[in-house]
Amino acid sequence: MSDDQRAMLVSAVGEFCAKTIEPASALIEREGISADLVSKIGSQGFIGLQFSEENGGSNIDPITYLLMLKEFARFSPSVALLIAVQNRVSNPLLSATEGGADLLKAISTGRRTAGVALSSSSMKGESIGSLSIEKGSLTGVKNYVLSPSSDCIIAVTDDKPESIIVTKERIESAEYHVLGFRGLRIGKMNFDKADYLMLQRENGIQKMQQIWESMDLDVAAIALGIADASIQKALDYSKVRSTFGHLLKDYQPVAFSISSILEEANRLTMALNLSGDFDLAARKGLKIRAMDLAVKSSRQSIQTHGGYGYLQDFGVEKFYRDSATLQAVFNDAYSDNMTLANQVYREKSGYM
Amino acid sequence: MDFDLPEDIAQHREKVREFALKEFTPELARKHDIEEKFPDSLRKAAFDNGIVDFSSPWKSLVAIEELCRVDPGLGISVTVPYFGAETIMLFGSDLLKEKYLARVNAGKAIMGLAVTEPGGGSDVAGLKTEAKKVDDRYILNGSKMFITNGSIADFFVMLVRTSKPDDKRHHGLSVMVVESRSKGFTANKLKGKLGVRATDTAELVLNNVEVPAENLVGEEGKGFYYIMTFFNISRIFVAAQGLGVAQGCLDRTLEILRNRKDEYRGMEEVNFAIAEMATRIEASRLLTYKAASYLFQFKPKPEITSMAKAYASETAVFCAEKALELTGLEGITGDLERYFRDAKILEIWEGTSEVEKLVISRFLTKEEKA
Repeated sequence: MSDDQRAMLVSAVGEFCAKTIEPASALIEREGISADLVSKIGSQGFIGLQFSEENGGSNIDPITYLLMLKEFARFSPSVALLIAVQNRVSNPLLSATEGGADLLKAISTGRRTAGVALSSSSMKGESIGSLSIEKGSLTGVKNYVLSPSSDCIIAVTDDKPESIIVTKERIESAEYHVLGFRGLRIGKMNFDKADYLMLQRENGIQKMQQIWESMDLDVAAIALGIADASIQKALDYSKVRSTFGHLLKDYQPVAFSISSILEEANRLTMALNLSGDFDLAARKGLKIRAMDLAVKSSRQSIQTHGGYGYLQDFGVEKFYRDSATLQAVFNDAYSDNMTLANQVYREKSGYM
Repeated sequence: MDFDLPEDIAQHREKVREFALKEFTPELARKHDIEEKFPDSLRKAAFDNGIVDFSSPWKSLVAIEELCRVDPGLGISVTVPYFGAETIMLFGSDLLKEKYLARVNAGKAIMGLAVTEPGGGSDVAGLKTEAKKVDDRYILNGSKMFITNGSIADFFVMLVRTSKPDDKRHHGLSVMVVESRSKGFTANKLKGKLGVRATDTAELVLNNVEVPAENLVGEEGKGFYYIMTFFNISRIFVAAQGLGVAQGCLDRTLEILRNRKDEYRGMEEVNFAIAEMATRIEASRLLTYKAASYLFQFKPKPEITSMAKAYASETAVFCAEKALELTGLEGITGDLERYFRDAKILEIWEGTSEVEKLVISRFLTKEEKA
């Protein structure tokens, strides 16, 4: 795809978001992403970006996909993560399963969505859940399910042989008052003889780890969207807000911080553009730096806005919450740094 | 040099901690956070139990620290009904002390401090609310923003402009006590804050509000000095808030890690993060207590106070962020997420970190020149 075509697609996402997502952003934070909004996103072809054409997707090239994801995150990190989950989790698992195509087509058009049970390598098994298959149906609990109000949930069973399944129906959940990604939410889910479709019979934990690793650049793109949007808001505000008779931008601590973060965001976005050739170490490095920058950028943006940044109306605080949540969900147990060290040393390292 | 607190202060700290652990249940903290509701019954319980004892500044300091350690939103809420009291205590007439402060000290009234204005922020001297003297009263017009206890306080210690500024903008400012039941006084509660949602914050609008001349605090035109003096006191208590938030983050992180896999708990990266949190907390505590020691002996050192306020606030934010990194899913879905949201305001209110650094550098530069 040419640079012009890519820019056009990213711009189309920006226009859609400005018209459809921005006006609903407070509602998204308060009540979650509505089925109507998912349907609108799907109808524009923005959900199945990496799906094959026969599954209703556009099979767009990975870099364009990442830049579009970043653009979504500039308006709503929750929407961006929803899209990433469908492309990186639902797509590979459902497309490889007999009977999965219909569900994928429904997801790509926004008629259905899939949530996913989260896990953590540092937590003991029982803290994550106790899901098992008994007499042909699902029984047990998953303590952390992302987007629990979705039409179906992808999860790994906690008993051997650790199967990956997708539920055939919506399951009731108790939602947490979660810090970020409130458009998607996280909930605790009780499975009581739930019907399911088998996606992978064994080695589910290993497979899911591979899937989460495949999301490294998606996470980097979302983090960069957060960093970019929040620091842009600080930049704009510093140009119009005066204190002690001068615009904020005229003060060194403000101007230097914002400039430095913006420059770093641009540099990391350039790296994202080149990420097609990245090896595992480079992908991990980009993800770690982008996540750190998202927290730093959104924190600085609140600080620049002062008391106003602390209010939801100014649309900055959600980026701070989402950036920390992104880091908490996707940087579990410092595993990225460990993987990075192993790649650099080319042998097991940094495990003590 | 003895770093231990005197026995009576240490005992008070224990008493406060017991109170907070009993009364500040996670369910209650979550409820007030979600509903953005001021915990008035807790305020009364804290008063009745002698938790907030302003007769001893050291007891107040450790109380704030311990209460915020168990829950920042509730902790600040039960200690903030006295916000601004020092201004009347130090500069107010006996009449004002008797009429207003006595009710607050008896737990029968809530007060607030009204300085910040819309678009004003750190620039206190740039305020626009006017008080025009007419006979034996002042007529107030203007508005105030981000006022703690704004929609629940019975009265406010308010900074207003009583005369046009001369070559120095901070001249012509005065402090007066304004009752919230006054005609022309409106409070609009601000909803949708990131954190400290149990505390009440409002915008105040003053439309020809009449204030008796006797409600003037101290002398007309000296308001800026009074408020700056107050900030040099209150910033130490904000540092104590930061200390409590940071310590609470460490407590909860250690608690969560106890149930994690041994290999995770044994990782040096994890242990170094914990060590850094603990070190910064200890440094904040020493700085805060040092600033408090100077102030409580009536030898305030504003640069040390500002160091304590800025460092303890930044430590609270650092510890809250680090706690979420270490605790992952449990952190973002449990009580720690509230600490994260609460911590950030400490770097903003009562002097942003930038303002504190200006104060510090100006004092150092002044000393150099001298």
